Amino acid sequence: MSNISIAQFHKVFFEESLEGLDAMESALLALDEGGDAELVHSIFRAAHSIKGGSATFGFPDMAALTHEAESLLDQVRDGRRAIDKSIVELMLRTVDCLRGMFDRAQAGQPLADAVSEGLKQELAAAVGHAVPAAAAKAVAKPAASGGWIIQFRPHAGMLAGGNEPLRLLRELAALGQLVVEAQLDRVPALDALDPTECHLGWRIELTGAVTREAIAGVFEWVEDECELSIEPLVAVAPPPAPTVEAVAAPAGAGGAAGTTRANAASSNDSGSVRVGIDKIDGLIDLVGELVITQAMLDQFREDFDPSRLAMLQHGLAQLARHTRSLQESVMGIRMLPIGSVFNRFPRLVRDLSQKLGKQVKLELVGEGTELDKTVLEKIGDPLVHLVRNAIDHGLEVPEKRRASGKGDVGTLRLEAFHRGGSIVVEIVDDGAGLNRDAIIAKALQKGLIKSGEGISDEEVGELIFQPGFSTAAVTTDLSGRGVGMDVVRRNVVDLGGSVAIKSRPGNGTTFTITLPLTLAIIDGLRAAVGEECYIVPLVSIVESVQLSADAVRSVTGGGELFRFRGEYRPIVRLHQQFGVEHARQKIEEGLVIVVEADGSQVGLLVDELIGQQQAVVKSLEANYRRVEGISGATILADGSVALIVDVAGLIRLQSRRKAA
Amino acid sequence: MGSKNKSDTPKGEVRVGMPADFRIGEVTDLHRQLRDALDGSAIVLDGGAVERVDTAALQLLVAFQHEARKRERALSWTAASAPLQDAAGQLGLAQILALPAKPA
Repeated sequence: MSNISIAQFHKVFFEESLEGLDAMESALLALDEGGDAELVHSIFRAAHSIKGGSATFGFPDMAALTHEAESLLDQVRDGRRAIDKSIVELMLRTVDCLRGMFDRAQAGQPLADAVSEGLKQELAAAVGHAVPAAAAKAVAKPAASGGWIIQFRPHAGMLAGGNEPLRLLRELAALGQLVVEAQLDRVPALDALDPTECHLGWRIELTGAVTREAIAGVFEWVEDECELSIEPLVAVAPPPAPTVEAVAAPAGAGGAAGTTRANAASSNDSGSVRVGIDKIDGLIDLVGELVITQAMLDQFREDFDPSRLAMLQHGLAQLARHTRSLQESVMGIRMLPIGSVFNRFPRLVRDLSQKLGKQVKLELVGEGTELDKTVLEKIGDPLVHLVRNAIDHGLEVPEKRRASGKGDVGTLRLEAFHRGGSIVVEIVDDGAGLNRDAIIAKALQKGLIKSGEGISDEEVGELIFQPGFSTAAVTTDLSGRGVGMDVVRRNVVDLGGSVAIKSRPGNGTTFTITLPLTLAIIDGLRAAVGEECYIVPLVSIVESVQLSADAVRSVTGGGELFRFRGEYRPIVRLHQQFGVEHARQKIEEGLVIVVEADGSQVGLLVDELIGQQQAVVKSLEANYRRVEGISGATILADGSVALIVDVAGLIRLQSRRKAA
Repeated sequence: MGSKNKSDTPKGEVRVGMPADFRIGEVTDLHRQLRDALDGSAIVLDGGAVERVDTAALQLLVAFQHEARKRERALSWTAASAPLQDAAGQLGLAQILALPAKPA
């Protein structure tokens, strides 16, 4: 398990991070127009993910840069700094710079360049602490020669492409002393000039201890848009030995001056799935069966004789069976083993435990458990957060473990298994468990709760899912910025799943993530409300009950409660919630579906149940807009549209109303 | 701010002001203005308002300078803002453009 090559996950990391950068960019741009705190959160989260990923996958330069960016964002998020144009601009440049770094990472080239080092300094300066000059060593390593002669002649189209020689020369000026000589020989007469084309050229003498890579880095973005030569200023042995260290990628850095971005664009495909031949053969078989059934049913079209009714029914049943199998097989194509996510962790755990001086044994169980590719891709980050938190906060250092009578080596177990229609992933550590007192103290300090009196262990567990919550006194590049748990929950809930936490003081913590097998099709119960029809996801349903009128209590503030298995649960009247007319108003005339999400239960009042059905989920957001309490829509057999109830969303709405 | 070149017929003097955002998006417009300005015998350039400037803009000024010299037009600056000066200096064009001394 220790010999897993981390490189195979680079592509996923790159894809995710580039998406994250896109999200950061659009959020920054929205922020520039005047945005809200949620935008800052989303930018912060994207930066945090990239930082974590780049540290995990061995790109320390990228991690260092994003760390500075994150620190700045943290100040904004905490309200210690107002967001202004200069910060937005700085962050946008960071996004650009990170994109460049990803391009270089994909090409296996050194990541740091003059721009990134400069940006890191700028960010650090903005945060208010300077990065020690030694940190810039990757770029500033002196070259053996005293300087360089750079011949730079942009192609005519470079300006229109948005690349600005002025900026490049400024960047060069940051590297050393410049003597710039403009070459005007190709500038046409005024009448013949297309002012948007570039006809200038430059001969630049750069003196100073600068590597060729640093110079090439400045021109990296434009090298296919210009003629460029970089020659040593004096005839000293030109030594452009690759001086940038610590990049895990293969050493393709030798001739870094001639780098290209050729393969940068190819990573922007829509993703692909590798499918086993056996799965495809199975599909072909099924399609063959379908064709046979169809031919059989076809016979009835010409001459239908009632005596052959039984045969028709048989044919239809066969059709239904084959369609179902075909559906399952097609869904199966998207199913991938969770091992591809789990395999990231051995390295992460090793690095983290070394860094923190802890001894950790990682156990991976159920790596072959399959789940939908979309779910798989999105569960990676939350799992990384949880694993990191477990090592950083959960597991203790050896001395402390010994003092509590435990072995030196802590155990972290990741286990995936099927339960019902769901996938369950458990992250179990045998550390100290949640520190109840510290969590309550922190929650009080952050104003999340008013008093620590009478708070149940369950509620303490809930507190750590609040945005901005963190008990770590010092922020590290591991965890403890308080980003994480709220993001974990949000990501999982967005996937239609839930996260639960169980702490055993002194004996460890268990996080349980429950995820749907697929996002494309859900099993649901069809319920009538007035003239409308709603689909309630089967995984959320505990049971359905018919209540008598006296089983329901009204409470002050307008809510209703009913008694279910010895506890009172709130009732959500779906007709009220969604504004449906002509629905049954009396509890005893309708049915209450008890549903559960995020560990709480409510009863949904509907008129009646119609039946169970598979629903192909259509996005409501894509076709209409987001509606609270609704997760999507589906099309029924008669062509009408039924809305799919978002149980977790309804419960959140309910508790918000209760709190109000 | 007086124009230094009033020796020719005053009628022949043309002033060309540069916009605050003097970048590639504006150069086509200014290109036209400068070509028209060559009809005058003396041309006064005002770069005092320039806040942002790019290579395309400076290249246009270079081409204009050449043309004006070729046609023996009197060319002068009333003002050149600091950003304009800096950019010209960075691109090695300050001397060619004969920019006035930096504003204090």
